[in-house]
Amino acid sequence: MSSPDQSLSLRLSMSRALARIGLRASGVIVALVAWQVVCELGLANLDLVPSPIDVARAFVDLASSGVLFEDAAHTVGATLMGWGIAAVAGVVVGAVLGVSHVARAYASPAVDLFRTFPPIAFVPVALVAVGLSVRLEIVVIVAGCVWPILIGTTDGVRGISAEKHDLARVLRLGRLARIRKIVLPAALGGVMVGLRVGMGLALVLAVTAEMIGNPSGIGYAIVRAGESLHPDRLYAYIVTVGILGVALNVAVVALSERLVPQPRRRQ
Amino acid sequence: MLRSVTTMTQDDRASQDGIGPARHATVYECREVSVVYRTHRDEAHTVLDGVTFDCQSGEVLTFVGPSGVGKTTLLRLLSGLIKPTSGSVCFEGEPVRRTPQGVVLVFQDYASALLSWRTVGRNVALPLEGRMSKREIDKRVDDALSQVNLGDWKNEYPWRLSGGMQQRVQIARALASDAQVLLMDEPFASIDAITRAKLQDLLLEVRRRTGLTVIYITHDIDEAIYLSDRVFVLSGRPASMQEEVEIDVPTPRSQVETRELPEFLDARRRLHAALRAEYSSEGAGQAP
Repeated sequence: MSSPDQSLSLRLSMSRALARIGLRASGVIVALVAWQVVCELGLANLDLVPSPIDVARAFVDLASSGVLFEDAAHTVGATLMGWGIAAVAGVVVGAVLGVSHVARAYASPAVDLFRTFPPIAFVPVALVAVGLSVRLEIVVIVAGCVWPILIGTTDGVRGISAEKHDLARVLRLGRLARIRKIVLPAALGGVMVGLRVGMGLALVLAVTAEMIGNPSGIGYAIVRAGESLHPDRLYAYIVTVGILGVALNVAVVALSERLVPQPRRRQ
Repeated sequence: MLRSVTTMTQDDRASQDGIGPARHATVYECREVSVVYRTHRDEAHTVLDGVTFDCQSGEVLTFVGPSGVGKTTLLRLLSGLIKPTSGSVCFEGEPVRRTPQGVVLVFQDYASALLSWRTVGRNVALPLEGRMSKREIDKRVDDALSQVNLGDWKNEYPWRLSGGMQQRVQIARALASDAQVLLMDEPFASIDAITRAKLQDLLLEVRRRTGLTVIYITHDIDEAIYLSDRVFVLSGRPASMQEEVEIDVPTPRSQVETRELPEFLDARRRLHAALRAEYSSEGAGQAP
């Protein structure tokens, strides 16, 4: 008796899922079609703006020759290393600032000043200090993406409600148990926001550092494509950065959902 | 040791049918307790003024009073979250410095009192962790959850449960840790009337079974009478004890019949009168 019901509800939920994917992709599809139409009608200078189909062709060429994967692997490697170092530093320092109002009083003016420095400005300094290597990228990435992680962690720890502290006292939890079982998990939401924002920044900073500093990865590939007058390849690389950004974001979100079950998450 | 205390009160209950004149050990003694806060403009603001009462083991004691009168402050004193500015708060003869062993505070705001990242079962296990073996914890959690009829919800997250169910999780957490005394701060205030009635009966049932002592806070006079052996009226600014009403309503109580008994109506009349005095005096005080 329940099986027709089940198959019906399965079909319903599948068609709903497809409709949802279609809805979400519709913006991208409309933009691509409009772009193609503009190119077909000759409304834009084709030397500078390739059509989506040209870009797709260049993407397939680069992918099948393996160049794309090499470049992407380098950029993703640098992104993850820089983000990882920033994550450890940001969470540790952020947690200390969140717990201790004395530390916060001394350090937050410095944090507010340092985080306004453009990370790319460190390229010349890093160039002298570490030379043309992936380490230059890492310096730039850490200098940029440590701040959202640090601030997210500090706010996460500070934002724990007074009721949670009361709860820990009423349940007679020891200091260690309080930090491990209440403070850290309660702050995880803020930490995860910092890590997500940081991941987005890390990828952008990696590409930028490759464009003006260390000549490798996707950033340098974009420069090469531009200089050799291959706008289709240039856009193929930009699209690749977009795909990587989405994939890395999905990975961090998946991690955060594993660690923090979300109350009343919607769809 | 806790077990033996529970057993003792159960025996007492057997001899006295649960509710009756207090011949139990004194659990809480409050003597001339006052609490003075410093406001942000550094003015002294007296919240409680000279509150004195005793609470006997196994009784349900309720404080009624208008919102903002200082009822929550009183529970925070009893749970050791704050200290009195003057006077003394003693639990089993010892001054309260932190939450005494065997006392559990049930918060009004169940959403923040339960940890959203832990399942129902792990929320109930929280006060037990590190104090006994995993198997013992499991056994107690299952036992406590079945006492509040939440046995099937052990592996669900609390935010998937209704408000009434979340409040039952809080009660289960108290039961699992062998609480002798429940301090309850308007626990059913934000719950719909039908569920509230069920929760009141659940509380009476748990209390009858375990011989728990309950100190309860509410602004609902009917709820106070329905649950309690004694009701105190807390009112005025600063708040002080205005009236003590012994509730002679027989047990077991039922939502319909009990509320129609002359004893119930009599208690209701006396409490309303005490609170009405408070409103009119306040109104007179505010008149120019």
